[in-house]
Order: sequence, then C-alpha cells, then structure tokens
Amino acid sequence: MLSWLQHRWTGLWLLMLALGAVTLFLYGFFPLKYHSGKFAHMDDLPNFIDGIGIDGQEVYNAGEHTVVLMVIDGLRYDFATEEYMPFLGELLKNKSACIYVSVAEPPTVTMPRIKSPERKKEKAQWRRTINFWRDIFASAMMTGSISTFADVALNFGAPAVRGDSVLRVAASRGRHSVMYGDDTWLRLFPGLWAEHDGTTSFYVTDYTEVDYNVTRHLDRILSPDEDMKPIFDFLVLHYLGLDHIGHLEGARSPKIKPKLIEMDEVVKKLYTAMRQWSRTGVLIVCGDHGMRDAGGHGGASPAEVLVPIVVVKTDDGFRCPHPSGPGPTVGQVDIAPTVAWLLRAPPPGDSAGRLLPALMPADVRQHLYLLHVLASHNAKQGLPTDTEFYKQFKRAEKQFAQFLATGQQSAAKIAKEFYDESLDAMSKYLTETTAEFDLFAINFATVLLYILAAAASCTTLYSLQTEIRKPSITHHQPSKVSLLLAFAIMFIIFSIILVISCFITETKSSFCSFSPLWSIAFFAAALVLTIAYFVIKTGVEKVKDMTALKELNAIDYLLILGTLFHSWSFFGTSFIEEEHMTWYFYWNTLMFFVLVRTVVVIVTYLSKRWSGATETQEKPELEVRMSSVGISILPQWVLLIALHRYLRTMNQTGDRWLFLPDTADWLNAPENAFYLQVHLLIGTLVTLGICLWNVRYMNNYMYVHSVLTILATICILCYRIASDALETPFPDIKTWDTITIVNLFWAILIIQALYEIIIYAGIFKSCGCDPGTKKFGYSKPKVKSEDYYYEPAEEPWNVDNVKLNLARSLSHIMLNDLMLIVILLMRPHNVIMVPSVFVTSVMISKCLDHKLLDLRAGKGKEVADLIGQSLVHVWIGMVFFFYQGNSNSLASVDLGSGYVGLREYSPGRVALRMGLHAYAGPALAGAALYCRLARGCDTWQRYLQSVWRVCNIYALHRIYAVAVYCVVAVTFRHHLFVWSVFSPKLLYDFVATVFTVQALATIAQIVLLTNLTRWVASLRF
Amino acid sequence: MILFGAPFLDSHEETLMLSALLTLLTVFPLVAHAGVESAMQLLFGVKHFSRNTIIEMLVNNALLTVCGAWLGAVVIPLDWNTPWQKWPIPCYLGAIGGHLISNVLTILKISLMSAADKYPILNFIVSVLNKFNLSK
Repeated sequence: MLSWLQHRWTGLWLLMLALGAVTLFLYGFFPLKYHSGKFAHMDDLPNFIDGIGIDGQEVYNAGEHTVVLMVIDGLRYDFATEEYMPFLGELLKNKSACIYVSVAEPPTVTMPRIKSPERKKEKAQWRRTINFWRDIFASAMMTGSISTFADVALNFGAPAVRGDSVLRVAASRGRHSVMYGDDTWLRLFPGLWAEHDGTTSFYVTDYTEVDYNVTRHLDRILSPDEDMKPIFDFLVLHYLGLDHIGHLEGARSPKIKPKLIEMDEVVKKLYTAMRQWSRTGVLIVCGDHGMRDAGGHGGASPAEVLVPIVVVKTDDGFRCPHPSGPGPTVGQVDIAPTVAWLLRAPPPGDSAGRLLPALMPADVRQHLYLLHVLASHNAKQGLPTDTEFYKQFKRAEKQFAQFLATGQQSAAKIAKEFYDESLDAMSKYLTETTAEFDLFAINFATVLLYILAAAASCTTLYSLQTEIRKPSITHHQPSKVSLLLAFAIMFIIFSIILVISCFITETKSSFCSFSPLWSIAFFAAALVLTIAYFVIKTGVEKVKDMTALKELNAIDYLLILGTLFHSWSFFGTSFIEEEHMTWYFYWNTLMFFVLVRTVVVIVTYLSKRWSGATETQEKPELEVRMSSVGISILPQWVLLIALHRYLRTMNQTGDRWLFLPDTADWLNAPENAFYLQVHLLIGTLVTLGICLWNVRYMNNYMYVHSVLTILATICILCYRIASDALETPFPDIKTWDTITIVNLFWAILIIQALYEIIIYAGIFKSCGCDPGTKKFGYSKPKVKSEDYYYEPAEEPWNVDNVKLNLARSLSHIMLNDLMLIVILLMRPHNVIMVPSVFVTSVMISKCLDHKLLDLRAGKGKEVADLIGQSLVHVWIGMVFFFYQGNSNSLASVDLGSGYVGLREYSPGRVALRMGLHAYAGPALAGAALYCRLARGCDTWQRYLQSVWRVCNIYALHRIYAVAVYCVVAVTFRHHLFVWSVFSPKLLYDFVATVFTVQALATIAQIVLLTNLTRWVASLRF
Repeated sequence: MILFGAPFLDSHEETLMLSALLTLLTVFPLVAHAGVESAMQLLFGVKHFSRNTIIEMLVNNALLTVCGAWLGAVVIPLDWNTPWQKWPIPCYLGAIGGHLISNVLTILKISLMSAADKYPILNFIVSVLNKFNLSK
C-alpha cells in the first residue's frame, strides 16, 4: 500500500472522501423532509371503496362552516382552565367545548428566558429563532405536515411555503381567509389572504400593543352581513402577548393572569358573535408551545410541550363526546385536515394528520368515508406497504366496502376500529421518521472525518520527508495477491463492525436501513474506512524522517499553531460570528513578527556592513541573504501593513459591529462617486499590470497574450460603464448590452487558454523533431529564434523542461483569468482587493523565505518553506475572504454577483458565480501559490513534488477544519444559536470543502493537461 | 499602533494613552538604563545581554508587556458585553499583567538562583526558566 502513500493525488482523493463524509454529516444534521409539493384537488377524493362506488364529493361535504382559529402564543395546558380563563372553563364544563392535549413539535432548539431584553444582540438572536419557531408552527398547522428547523433555516430568502396548505385549498375553493396577528403567517402564505394585518414580535418588551393590534379588528370583522352570514370563512388570530410575558418574566409572573383574562374576553366575544350567525361556526383555540415556570421554552418538559386545543362549535346539538378531564391526545398537524374539511376543501397535499374526533360527523357512512380519505391520503405518501398498519388499512377498506354493500352495522364498527388503529400508526410513523437529527449518521460521519484527517496527516507527513527513499526492493515485498487478500479481509472486518454497531445502537437511521440505495453508501463507507486504515498503517510505518520539521522557525510555528487553534476556537459562538477578528488578529501578529524579523536582519546587515573589516568572512553570506530583497523591503512591508489596515476598514463584517459605517458605505454614497470610480479604475488597471507582468511566464508569441489580456480588460471596463458604475467620455458605450460584453469576455479567456495549449502542441511540430526518442522544445520565441540559427535537433532540450514551462504558463493563465473574472464579479469598491491579494502574496513569499530569516542554513529549508508558504496562503485567503465583507452568516452572501452577464436564472451558473465571488480571496491566494510553485521550481520532478506536498497540506487543513467543526456542531446541536450561527458556518465549511476539491482538481487538471499536450504533440509525428 | 488595527478616526486619546503606557513600560526603562542605541539593539535581539541580569529583566519586561497587550485583545470579540471590553482596556490590562508576570518571573528566577547555591536540585528549574527566556 506504499504506492498509495506515494501517489501524487492521494490528498485529493482523501479530500473527496471527506467531502462524502461531510455530505453524510449534513444529511444527518439537516433532516430535510421530502415535500411532494402536490396540490390537493377535490377530484382526488376516492370514488370507489374496494370496488364499490360512492360519490366522494357528496359524502365528503361537511356543510357550511365558518372557522375561527385563535392561536395564543405560549398557551400552556394548565392555562386553559377555569382558574385562568373562566369563560372557557365554563364552556368546557357544560360540554359545549372540547379540550384536547397536543404535543408541540420536537424541541430541537431551546429558547431561554431573556435575561436582558435591551441587549441588542440577544434580542436579534431571539427574534430570529422565535421566527423559526413560529414558521414551523404555522406551517405545521396549515400544511398538516411537520417541517423541521432545517427546512425553514435553509429556505434562503424565500420563506413562503411552496407546498400545499389549507389556505391554498381554501382559496382554490373560493373561501375568504382573514389573518390578524403575527406576521409569520403572512410571510409563509403570501397572497392567500383576503384581508390581513400583521404585527411583528420585534419588541419583546411590548405585550399590550401586539394584542391590541389584533383585537381592534374584531368588532368590524365579526359583524355579519344582512343575511346574518359572516363576511369571511376562515379567520386566524395570533396573540403574541402571553409568550412575550413568558419570555420576560416567566410563567409565575403576576402579569400572566390579567393577560389570560383578556384572552378569555376575546373568546367570549368570538363565541357570542358566532352564536348570532346563521351559519355554524367553529372556534379552535390553541397554543403553539407551552412555557417553563422559569420562563422560556424549547425543552422537553411537560409544561413546555403540552398545549391545549379547545374546540367550540356553535351548533346547538353539539356536545363534547369525551368525558370531562384532560381530553385525548391529538397532534398539531390534525388542525390542517380538520379545517380543510370544515371549509369543504380536500386535505392539503402533504398533510399527515387526522380529524379532531369531536367534529366527526354522526353519520356512519360519512364518518367512515372521512377516515378512509385520510388513511388513503397518508398511504399515498410513500409509506412502505409491508407494514402492519398498511395491512390494517386494507382490512379496514374491505370492511367499509362490505358495510357500503350490505349496511351491516357490525362491519362499520370493525372498519372504524381498523381505520383508527392504522391512522394512529401512520401518523406516528410519518412524524417519527422526519423529526430528529440522524445521530448515528452524524456520529459516524464525524468519526469517519477524524480517520480521514489522520490518514491525510500521514500522507502529508510522509510527503514532507526531505528525501523519499526509493522503495527498496527487499525480500519482504508482499505479493499483489496477498495485498488484495489483506484488503478484502479488512474490508469485511470493517463492514461487520459497522453492521454490529448499527444493531447495537438500535438506531432508526436510514443509514442502517439496508435499502438498496443506502447499502451502497454503507459499503462505500466501509471501503473508505479500509482505505484510510491502510493509508494510516503504511504512514505510521514509513514516516520516520522528520528532520525537515526541525527547520521550522518561530513564524512557521505561529502559522501552524494558529491554524490548529483556529479550528478549536469555534467552541465559542462569538468566535464563529466574529471569525474575522481571529483572522485579523492572526494576520496582525504575523505581520508584526515578520516586521520584527526583517528589522533584525536589516539592522544586522547594516551594522555589520558599517562596522567593517573584522567580520568580513560573514559578509558574503549576508549579502546572499539580502540580495533577494534589498533594504527597500522594510518600507515596502510597512506600506503593505498600511494597505491591509485600509482594506480592513473597507467592509464591516461579523455580527456585533456590522452596523458601524465603513469605507464601502462612504464610497457608495452618491457624493463620493468619484472616489469609488477611482478605486474601480485603479483596481482594474493594477490588475491589468499584474496580468501583463505574468504574461512573461507564458508563451507570449507575437504578444498575443498581451493583446488578449488588454482586450479582456477593456471588456471589463465596458461592462462597468454599461452597468453605470463608471463615468465615461464615450456615451455610446452605455447603451451596449452587458450580456454581450460578458460573453465576449468569456470567449477571450477561452481563446487565450486554448491558444496556449495549441501553441505548445504546435511548437513540437514546428521543430520537426522526432518525438519519443529526441528531446526538444522551447517555450519562448526568443529562444526559438536563436535556436533557428543553430541546429535545432542538436540542442538537448528536455521534454520535462517543456512540460514545466507549459505547466507554468497554464498556472499563470489560470491566475490571470481568475483575477479578471473576479474583477468582473466584484462590487466596484471591492475590486481593489484583487491586486492586493497578489501583492500580498508576492511580498509575504519574499519575507517568509527561510534564507532571509534564519541564521543558519539547513537542509530541509525547502520543505519548511513549503509549509510556511502554503499555510500563509491559506491565511491570506481567509483574511481577504473577510475583507471582502463576507461573514459566517447567510445574510452576507452577495446574490447580485450571481447574475453578472446572465439573462435568465440558471441555477448551476448562478451558484458557480456566487461561490466564486464569495470565495474569491481563497481562490486567488491558492492560484497565486501554485503560480509561485511553478515559478520557483527548476525541474519538472521538483515541481511535481512540491505540488504534491502543497496539495497534501491543503487537503489536510481542510479535512482537519471540517472534522473539528463537525464535533463543535454535534456538541452544540441544542444550543440557542444552532440554526442562526452554527448551521450557516457548517454550510460555509461545506462549500469551502467543495471549492478546495475543485481547486485541487484544477491543479491536477493542469498537470494532466500538460501530459496530454505532450502526448498529442508526440502523436502528431 | 494604528497600523495594527486601532481605530484612527476617533478615540485618539485612548490610543495615545495606550501607546504612552506601552512606551513607559517597555522602552523607557531600557533607554534609561542602557542608552538609546544599545536599547534598540537589545530589543531587536541583535545584541545579546551577556549575563547582565538587570538588562535581561528589562528586555523580558518589554517583550512580555507587548505580548500581554497583544493577548489582551483576544477578549474584545467575545460577547459578554461587560464594560471593560471596550477598545483599549483589555490591552492596558494585558500590558500591565504582562509586565507584572515578567517581574515576578525575574524575581522568582533570581531567588531560585540564589537558592540553588544551597540546593543544587533547583538548578533544573533555573535552567528551564533560562530556556524559556531565551526562546522568547
């Protein structure tokens, strides 16, 4: 298995495996529910029961009803009693109302009591999370299916429920829905209300105004028209005051009682109004969650999860069928089909609930039919057919058919029992499968990530050895067969371990469900474990020579320890929200260290030079050290620090200081447009300069590359002018179509890359040499022309040399193109970042050079240099990521950049642009690093080796960061901030991993392309 | 100071005070003791203090003070919302704390050294402390 360790792209493969593991983790962490998105229709109602015909629409009809749904936020079960709400208690007592216990949705996030409501940050967090709660509650009520927090949290910017809901079916049947209260309902179901007035719970300290805003409409809306018919069909009232009191002062607060009395008055008002209508009214009073005595909610204690649902019907014949007492347990999802039925609309597409028993019709036929509708509706939602409740459902259907055919009461009774049983089991099944974290998958993925991290560190350490000894052919070389056998055995062992762990934990995870699709993933995981095991084993055996690591100096240690510690700092939420602070702090420290070191070196140099003759023998060495930078490095370095200081003010990011004005705001103010344009112009032109400078490393035959680059830049400027970001003396350009310009730009870039490859392939031809045996080729036309005079065939040009040149020029083309593309995508004030990345990269590479900083020379300098360089580029990438105004919250993703040069929405391209824009800093830094590698190496072999090392380091860093973060996310999965802070960061990490894979793959492609070109060239002859 | 991230449009006074404090704690005693030029050389590690305990102490003081001020900045992003988390205060505290620790270390070392004359076992600790200082 040594060959694996030595393989050049092992890091990349490991990273890809890690990506798989992260995906598994995300799958477990975000229990996304599958919403069919089906819209229910009246024609969906079954017209045949086991072959016997029945007029579905007619039987289903509930008669005319008006439904009032009154939601009192935070109404817990013991509040709905005579003690707190006298009128409601009275109704319950004389059986004109029914009370049920419902269990609130799975509490995955705790909403603690607010300790200091004035604190801005806490208020904002609280508000975000409480909105999640309400979203989930309202969508559970209206769609009849439970969505998870993740569904809501990941619903970027479009919180509206896309699937079916009671409101949609009601609207499609021409019913009028009216909404007063919390604006969650308006956000979730826009356009479905005939009338509405939303209040926000923005001020948690306010608990009178929010309720008054709801109640003030009642008198008007409740008064019926001339036929004594109400002017609406469905009314939703959402009272927030009680919950606010609960969050502020707890359930024992003296303010609770008057509030409940006020609510009771509202109930009374509704009830008396409804009695006067000519139509039957149904009033449903419920809470969305309870509250703890100490305040807050979200735990799993009975006081928090048990909420009452009170059903009142203004029909004189209505008597609550249940004995007085706590009442049977129902689910919150039961409201949806009940309301839909009362409004004579079909149950919404994704609903998984049942009808509230008190409202069930007395007519046996209708009763059974309703049960059948719901059961078959549930059965259609992908339930497995081999389960007991499905069989029960089938049996019930048979009995129902028999009842319809013969009218036997006994059959009806049996059918009813069977239906009830199967419905019970069904809704249990449907809620259970979707509710919780898939802990097994999460834990397993984390373990997998750790093992992969270990494997990656083994490969990295192996690759960092100074001299990789050729695998000596010893007598102990195991044969291929035995290797294969060992592999198979380990694979089987790991599979067995996995299976056993599945059974021991008795998990309900779908990972252990052994369905065909999942068993592929299952065995893939076992395979990954096996591979990682072998890599680690070989790594531990082979990694011996660690001399290179002794050459690290203080700055390298700072880089390594900083990177390691950074991942662990995420255990504090503030450090996630203000991650940029960590990076700025690190970056400052690094610059300070380098500054001090450079000062030391230069002072030594100067003092020795002046003090003169006694130390002449040391002078040449010093001269060598200084020659690469010169004294001017010091002022340059100070300027660089100043530049970074300026860039840092460009965008305020994070969470706490986000509101502070920054330079970007100042620049974007209309009166400062001139400075903004200057920024834009300077940024673009400096980038052009850098690109032209980079062109040196390409095959700039006939200056084609220079011309193409300048053309591309002109395209960018035209685009800026056309999109009104830049003033111009030529007004014509303003009218040009931006999309054509951008397309032209792409074309130029593609031509550039193709041209380079073709030139290389072509030069092989123009040499007219015999490939394969002869060595030939050049990169620069100048050399070529010289060569022309001499005998070309005799020049021993090396194929490897050409390859190196090609790789070098391809990397530079990549860097140039990337810079140009990013400039195109960036906001005008951020354009200046792009050249800054490059300048920083160049400067820091110079200053981190071990030759310059260390006192003595050592053997492993090269390796230590590589470690320092790659880590510092990671840092540069992250620092610029935050300079640019990104943060770890989804709000800072710039959606605008996704649509540059696109006429219509196409998800792939928009996502690609947005990703590239957000990760511009890391991408540019990475590209600059690889260019540097290609520039700095003198032979193809060494190039490959350094690429190998850097790839491993990058992969290791990524896997390590993700693995640590997964542990953080698992630890804090019940934290208040989990959906607003931890999960977005998780997504950011995921995207970063994807991009790292992509970046490393690009490097692999460059090497591959180089080999391919050589092959093509050799093919030509 | 401004280069490393201090706000430079407002709160001049605080920043100035911090600079003054740092100068007072680091450079001033050294300059007073050794003169301007050699102080600079000592601080940047060009010249080595050869067995001069007082200068060694002063240099260590300077280094640890800067380190302390530096580390003090760590707590600023935390969201405890205490009043002392405002901009320069943690750095003041860090600087003074660093200074204090450095002094304590020096005294400890000197007392240990004198004690080590009597009890040779303590030499081990002294050498550890010495190493710690040198690596700075």
